Amino acid sequence: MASGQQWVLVEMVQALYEAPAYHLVLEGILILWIIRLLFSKTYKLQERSDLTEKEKEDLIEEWQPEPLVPPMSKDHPSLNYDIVTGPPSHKIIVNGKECINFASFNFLGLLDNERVKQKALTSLRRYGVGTCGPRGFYGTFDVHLELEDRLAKFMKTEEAIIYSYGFATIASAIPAYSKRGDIVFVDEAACFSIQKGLQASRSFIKYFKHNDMEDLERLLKEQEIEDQRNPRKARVTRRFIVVEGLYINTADVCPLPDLVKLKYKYKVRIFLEESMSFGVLGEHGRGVTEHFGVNIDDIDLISANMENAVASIGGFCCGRSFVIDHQRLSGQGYCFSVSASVFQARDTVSVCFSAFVRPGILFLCVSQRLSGQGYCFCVFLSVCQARDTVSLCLPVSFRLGILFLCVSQRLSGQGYCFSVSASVFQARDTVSVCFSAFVRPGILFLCVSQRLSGQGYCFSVSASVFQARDTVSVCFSASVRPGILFLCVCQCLSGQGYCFCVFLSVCQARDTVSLPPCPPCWLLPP
Amino acid sequence: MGRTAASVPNGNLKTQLNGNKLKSAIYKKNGYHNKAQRFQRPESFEQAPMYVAVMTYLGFGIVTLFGYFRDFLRAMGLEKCQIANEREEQKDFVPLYQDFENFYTRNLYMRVRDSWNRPICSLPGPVFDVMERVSPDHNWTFRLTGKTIDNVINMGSYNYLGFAENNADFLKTVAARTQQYGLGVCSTRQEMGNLAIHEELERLVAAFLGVESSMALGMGFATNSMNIPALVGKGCLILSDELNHTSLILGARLSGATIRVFKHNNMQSLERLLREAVCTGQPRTHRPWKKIMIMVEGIYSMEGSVVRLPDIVALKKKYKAYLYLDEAHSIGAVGPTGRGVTELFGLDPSDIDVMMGTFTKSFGAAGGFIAGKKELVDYLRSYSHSAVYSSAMSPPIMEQILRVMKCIMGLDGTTVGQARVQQLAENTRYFRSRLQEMGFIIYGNDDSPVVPILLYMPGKVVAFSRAMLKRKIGVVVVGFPATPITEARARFCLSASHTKAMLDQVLFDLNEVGDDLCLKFSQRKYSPRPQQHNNNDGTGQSANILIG
Repeated sequence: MASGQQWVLVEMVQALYEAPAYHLVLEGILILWIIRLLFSKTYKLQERSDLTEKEKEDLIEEWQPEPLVPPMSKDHPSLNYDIVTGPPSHKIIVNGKECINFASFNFLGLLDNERVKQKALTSLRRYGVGTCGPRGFYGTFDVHLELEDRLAKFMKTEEAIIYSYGFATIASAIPAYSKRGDIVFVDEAACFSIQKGLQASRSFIKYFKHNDMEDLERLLKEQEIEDQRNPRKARVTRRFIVVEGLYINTADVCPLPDLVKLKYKYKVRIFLEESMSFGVLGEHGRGVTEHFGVNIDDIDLISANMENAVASIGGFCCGRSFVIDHQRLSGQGYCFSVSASVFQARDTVSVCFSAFVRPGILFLCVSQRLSGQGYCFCVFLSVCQARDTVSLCLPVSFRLGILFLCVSQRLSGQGYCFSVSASVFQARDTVSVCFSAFVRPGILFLCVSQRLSGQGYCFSVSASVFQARDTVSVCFSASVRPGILFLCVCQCLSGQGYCFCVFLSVCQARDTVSLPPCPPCWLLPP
Repeated sequence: MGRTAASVPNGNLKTQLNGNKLKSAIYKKNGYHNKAQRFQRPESFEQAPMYVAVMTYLGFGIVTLFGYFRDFLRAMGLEKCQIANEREEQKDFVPLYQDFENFYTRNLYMRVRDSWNRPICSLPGPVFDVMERVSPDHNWTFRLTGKTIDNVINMGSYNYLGFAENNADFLKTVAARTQQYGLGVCSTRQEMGNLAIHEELERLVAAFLGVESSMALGMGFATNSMNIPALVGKGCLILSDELNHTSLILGARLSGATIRVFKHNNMQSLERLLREAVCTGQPRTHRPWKKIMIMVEGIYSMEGSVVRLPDIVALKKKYKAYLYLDEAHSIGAVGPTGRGVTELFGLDPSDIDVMMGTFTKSFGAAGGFIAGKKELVDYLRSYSHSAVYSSAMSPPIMEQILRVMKCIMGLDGTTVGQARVQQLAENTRYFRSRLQEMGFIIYGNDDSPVVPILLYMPGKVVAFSRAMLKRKIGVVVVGFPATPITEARARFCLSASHTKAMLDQVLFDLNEVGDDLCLKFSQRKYSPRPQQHNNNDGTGQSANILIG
């Protein structure tokens, strides 16, 4: 060992002697260079110069943030809400004028149901108003449990969970399941709270064309090919289809049977938002599943709010325990928010009960003649109906090929306004129509729709209307199916001008529901 | 018109700045020395002894090991798996949950879940009736026996001022409103849901807080999560306290702004972040930030600490940041007349750019509000998501808020509201000082009606909750996901409706349970103070009469 070492040393010294002089010089320089590098100051790619305290102070002094909110014009329409005095039942007092109410989502007329009110008062006397705690911390009342139980029974699902705010229901439910990296297929006309839920989930979102199953299938196929390419990732990537039962933006019903077929074909879960359809569609008001006769267990999660048909506050999700229980720990709106007000829960209990017990009740609210000059008629709602008739919560329910005419006229000094906002759905061979229109005094609103030869049609207007001061300005957003004639004429009575606009859009932009104040329209000389 | 109006103040600002730096010096000084500022009351976060931390980790280690063992048994088929299963038809779908996600629920939470979600069947007042539950299978399922445990002292509800009440006389107006309007509104504010009573409520809230304008919404959680995105966006910076509520965090995330977190109530940490943000600007591009918003809460619901508002206002003014204050727990509960933390510190409410709060706690109702300058509220009315798309608040609930707020403000011609605010402050001081004397480690500010008692070990959390229920006291215990892993705690929420007798009962039982379970971890010595509290039950009784 020692001898070996020595031999190496000797060899090195020998090599040194034998090496040429230039080689030694070169090596010497290299060694010096390395030593210099070792002892020189650290080399920096970019010269860093810290700011001095004074410079910092100057920067702080100079920086001007943008104003917290941009300035707004004083006459922005949303700053001057219409003021409603008194209860918004079938008659409504808007800005001091009594009108017939076509605007509220009070489909079942339960808002002024005496029985509901009495139940609510009983509960108020027992439980007070607030719950003062989230569900986990003594915010669970016997009525909450009863309501969940009854909702589950009513919907024929294993379990239901209630939220205290309709808007937060689907917005909390989606991120409880769909996480970063998962894929959600969404109808592009999905309502705003779905969009918020998707945003909170941070999942990968793919929009398909409104109610277009071919487009959805195309996306699913694309995904399938993608999955085959990367099977390891595909095994942990959850997939969801999120659709609305009855679209608030377009008033279309989703083609649920086709969606269920796609679900099993491509192994995707379906989340169904039924805020508009719960209590409205189906023989007993159970929503789209009942309407189409789809097995409710085929839908992984159904969510609905109780602010429309049920005329209360809050929302619920229902489905199988396997799915729903998870929200009790992961639904943010459930865990971290104070539970639904008890007496409201109570009232909903009784509502569900009555809807359960007495299906097939038709409420006819108003059909009124206005001072001899014009007619306005409306059927305010129907809970359920026989299968073969037209079923609706409609201003007017009518059969195939019926001309629907709604004329309202301003009477001297006694203006009225009406707004229709509603839902439409279409059974396979029947027609249903529904309007959402809002007409101010002084406007003649005529809406004519006709059935085209041989084809059922469906059209819906869902919008708000704004009015400039003295010219007519009515704007619609309508989604019109192909082959539909939509004519809307509005006339100003003061004789100044006519304005008519047909505003066709198949689907609304992703995140807008309501319209800008007044889109351009053609002004025709009188 | 709007444009010109906007450019004028901008011009003014510039001239001010260019004019002289003297002004800004005064400005700073003003921020620090406000006229009637109160000193921050002591706030303690006592460290637990070392062995406690070791035992806590050990406890979690053991339950985790047992969890794996049970999972192993389940996989072998030796133990029945009781968790709900996927449908047969969907077995070949991608699993809805990852296995590890459920480990905690399956093995830890299931064992102890009887401590949460206890159903009650009465008013959540100072006492309530808990429905008795039994579980035949170690908490996998519960069965209600139909019996109730009556008159359990309620230390869990956020009923700070005792307005969760069912006295028919007090609720007359609410009942009338229900009779008149029904329960819902069935429309959004922008459509046909803007009732006159909404406007009345908003005016009253603004008057109560001493700000220009306010906006009320149907859910407290959504007030945060849906309005923050309207205020800040890309290119803005949010400085958020590390213990902020989930709703604030969700709102910040949805907004798309950059979020930086500062240490809880730590002004050095906040100032460092502010300085750095203003000096270096946005990452990579170094463009200046568009806006910087500081997000804090008035009272932190898990810590019981009160925000250091005077310092934050001074910092905010110096660095020209905006301040978003969430008064969910503090509104009504602190301040000499219940106006929240701004009043507690004697600050001008106009120094707070965005003031947010809820009606669920002190007001015994539901919903939330956002208040501030008129421009702010007007803007939110038009652009905030929840104002535009969600249903309007329910009339009876608004009536309850109106009733309570008028009561606190004394507009109903009585001093009941003020008496309650004072009673709450008195209860808070009494309860906190007695706990400290007993040797519990409690967190938070001496003024805060939220009192967390530290329990640390996971086993003790459950034992404590069960033992207290046996003694007919309902407490809230919180563990790991809501708190740091080593700091499980029990949370007591005081109420003006708690009488002295009730508090003494709770303290007596706490003392015994604390000894039994060895919960008195504090190493500080509190000299037995002269009793400041009136011992002859007079105050308690008088409060009782007032509250009815």
